[in-house]
Amino acid sequence: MALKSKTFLRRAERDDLDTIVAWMEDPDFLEFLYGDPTRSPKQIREQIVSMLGRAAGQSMPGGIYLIIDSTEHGPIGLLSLQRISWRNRSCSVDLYMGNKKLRNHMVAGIAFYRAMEYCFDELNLHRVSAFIYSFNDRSWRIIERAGAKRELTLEKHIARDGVLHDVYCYGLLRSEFDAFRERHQRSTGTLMRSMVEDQQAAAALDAKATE
Amino acid sequence: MILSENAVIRTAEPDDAGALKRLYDPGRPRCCLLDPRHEPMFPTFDELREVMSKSEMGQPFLYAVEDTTGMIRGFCSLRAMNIEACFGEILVMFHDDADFAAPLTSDVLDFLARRAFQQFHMNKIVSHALDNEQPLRDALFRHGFISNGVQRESVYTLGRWYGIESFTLDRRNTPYAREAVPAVSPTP
Repeated sequence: MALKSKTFLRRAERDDLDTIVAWMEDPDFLEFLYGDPTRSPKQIREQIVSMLGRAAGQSMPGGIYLIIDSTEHGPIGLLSLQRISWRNRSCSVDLYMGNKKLRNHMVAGIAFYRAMEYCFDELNLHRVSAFIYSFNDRSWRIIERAGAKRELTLEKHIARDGVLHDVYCYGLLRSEFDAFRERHQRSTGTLMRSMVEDQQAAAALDAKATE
Repeated sequence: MILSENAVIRTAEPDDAGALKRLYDPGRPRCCLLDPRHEPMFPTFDELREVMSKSEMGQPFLYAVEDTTGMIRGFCSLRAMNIEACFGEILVMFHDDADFAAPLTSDVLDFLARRAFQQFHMNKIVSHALDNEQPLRDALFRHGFISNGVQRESVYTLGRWYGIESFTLDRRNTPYAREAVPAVSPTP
């Protein structure tokens, strides 16, 4: 199965800097997520370096940045777990597909599912939140399919190009994700690999790069 | 200093740090005193003094609420959250929950709404409450706030989960509606 063998998550490395800067400068990133269009590439670069540096040396980081990578296409997106609270066992998630050609494919959905596996099965979190703009329907449909509930509707909460848009807050509890997995055990079982397999794929890619 | 019928509302000063510190009660979680990750904070007296000496864009960040005898009953705040979308967040906290049902609270919420809508031309103000903060929720509903929903099981303290409810007061539902201004400049 192509999707099984070609897409995986890994921690963001310093070598990913140029790719991430290019994504964060993209008008789509500013529209769908956040950022200030007046920032210079140097400022973005410094922000990313501080993000990567902050998480690396800490055993309990406040944020984790994962690259959605592919043996076929290279890095295709960025998935960040932010505001991680180890006390409340919660975090918020942002997902950006840098490779626009793959936005309509299942890659984003699989990456999100993988990230939830990581949050609940590895980090032992209890709750994952996501704030998504109402016009970004592809994103909120992905998270709804994974069993998340729309908990808040904040009307006219974000401005884009002079127009105010609603913002939705989604919450996914561990029990809901477990129920989703159980309901879709057959389909997810054939589509998804475990995190262990992800790590093996990343290691294989590393080995290939060093050859 | 704002003199109303039931309250005196003034900029909080570093000398008020003791009164503010009493609100950080581990046995009585308050949504407005959680940190950005929704974790309870227990600042020191000196940290609070430092925070109270700061301002936000030249505007006072925190106001002390006194009753007519000069006793500090609590604190309130209006802080800008999103300038582009023109909304802010209000915080209201009292030492005694009974004050949320007293006329004092009306004066405080009227002051914050006037400041947000008339002075800063905001489009809406938001507020948050844990699901154990029923007196605050009641006061917000009485003043026209509507609930936007609850972020379930967001805070863990005292051996249980708490949800965080969000509330909004839209300027269109207030006497300040006629002064509505565009949220952002029209694009050329």
